[in-house]
Amino acid sequence: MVKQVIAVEDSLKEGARLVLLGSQNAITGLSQMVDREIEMTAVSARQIPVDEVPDLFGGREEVAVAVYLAVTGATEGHMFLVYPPKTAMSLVDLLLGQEPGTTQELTEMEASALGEMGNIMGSFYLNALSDASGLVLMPSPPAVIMDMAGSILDVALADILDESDDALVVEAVFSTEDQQITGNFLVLPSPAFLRQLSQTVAKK
Amino acid sequence: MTVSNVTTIMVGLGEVKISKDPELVLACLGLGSCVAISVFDPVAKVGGMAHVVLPKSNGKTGERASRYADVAVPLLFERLKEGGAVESRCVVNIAGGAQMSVALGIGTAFKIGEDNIAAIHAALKAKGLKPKAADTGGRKGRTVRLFIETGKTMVSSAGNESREL
Amino acid sequence: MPKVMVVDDAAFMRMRCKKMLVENGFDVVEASNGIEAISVYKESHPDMVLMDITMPDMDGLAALREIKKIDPSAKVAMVTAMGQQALVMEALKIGAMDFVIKPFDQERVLGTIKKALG
Repeated sequence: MVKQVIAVEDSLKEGARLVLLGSQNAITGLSQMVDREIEMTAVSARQIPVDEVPDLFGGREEVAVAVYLAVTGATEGHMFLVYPPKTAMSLVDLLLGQEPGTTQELTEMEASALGEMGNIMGSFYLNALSDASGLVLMPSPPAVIMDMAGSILDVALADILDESDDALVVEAVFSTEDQQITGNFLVLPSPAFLRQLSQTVAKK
Repeated sequence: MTVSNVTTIMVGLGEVKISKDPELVLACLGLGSCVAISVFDPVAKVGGMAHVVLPKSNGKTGERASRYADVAVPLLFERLKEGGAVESRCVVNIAGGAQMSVALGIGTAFKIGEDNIAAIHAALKAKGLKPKAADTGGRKGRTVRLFIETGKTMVSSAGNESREL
Repeated sequence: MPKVMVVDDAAFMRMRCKKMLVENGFDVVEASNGIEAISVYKESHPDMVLMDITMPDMDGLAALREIKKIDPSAKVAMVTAMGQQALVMEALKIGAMDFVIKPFDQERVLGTIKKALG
């Protein structure tokens, strides 16, 4: 049973629902890529103060592995996949078909595998939104970063802080059935985009 | 220094804080493109820190405009002076402004760190001030701490020992 | 041996594709973005191209356009996670001979190569 929370202002609710569906599609993409059952265990769309966003990654100083993709095309936005470092390494082992525990650091090939995973998830997410809205939405090539969560988020949060003190965060938590691998797929869509999505849905 | 008596006060995104309490540490955690300005007047023993997020306010004003370098720097010094600091005695350190993306060799251009650093230098220059030390740029995140008791600014990165600026 | 050019910014994808292609008897050359794809195409004259879309410096659709200018008979299949209708239409319009969605089944890609090589 997936826990679903939508806590955004009314004008953004329909758009938020679409984004949740998009996140579900992102997880389908991951499942296809690793050829395993991946479940979405929780999904939420919330407006939270910008300085609380790092808590979704474990806290500003928490070291995390993140795959970042920018959204371009009909709108701009930010997408992140976030994992604790150990989980990221396990995921790499899965992707590279290696014994769990083999990957101990992220050099080029490992980072590339994670980046490609981010590319597939980000693309699946955007494909779902594109189908629903008719808008063309493209991901940037992925960037893989392992560092303190606050530092990874700065660029995306700076973008938001130029306009607002609140961030719209859509977060999908997923895991393999054996709970060995859990991660977060986070999207920070702009309110204008959600409104645009909501209007497109209303017309259909 | 008795570590157990020290309380850390977070200086969050866009905040400016000052203190004269020797038991306090002002800190900016997990700086990526953001830049911390750490200032201390060793005579008045008052210190302050600003967590700069963006370079130019483009005319925006008020409390919330302190996220911009061109507002944060003058505001920080104004608050320090209210606390008894004299500008010419102040020791200024800056840290942060990294360009975070790494690994895939595709160089995603996050120039905002660079722009923040430049804007801070410009705002300091406008006051006739120069930083004593600038631990800026690069590709790694930083945590910056200003110890009011000693006036020392310490910088650390994930997995590294902290070093004094 | 027929030669296939694999164009993808992800080293991981290039490695995977190369392994699959070599195991199936193909010669492989690689490029990591659109600009490299054009120069490698000119140098190596591959019989067929597997082209990603989302890449830095020059994306796959732009590279497809340039390669078709150099060689109107070039056989290029897009291989991408970007399955949006508008992009599929544009790729086919520019002259892609197929559009494979990632993550892909080996059979799907080998099938399109077979089709391209006739």
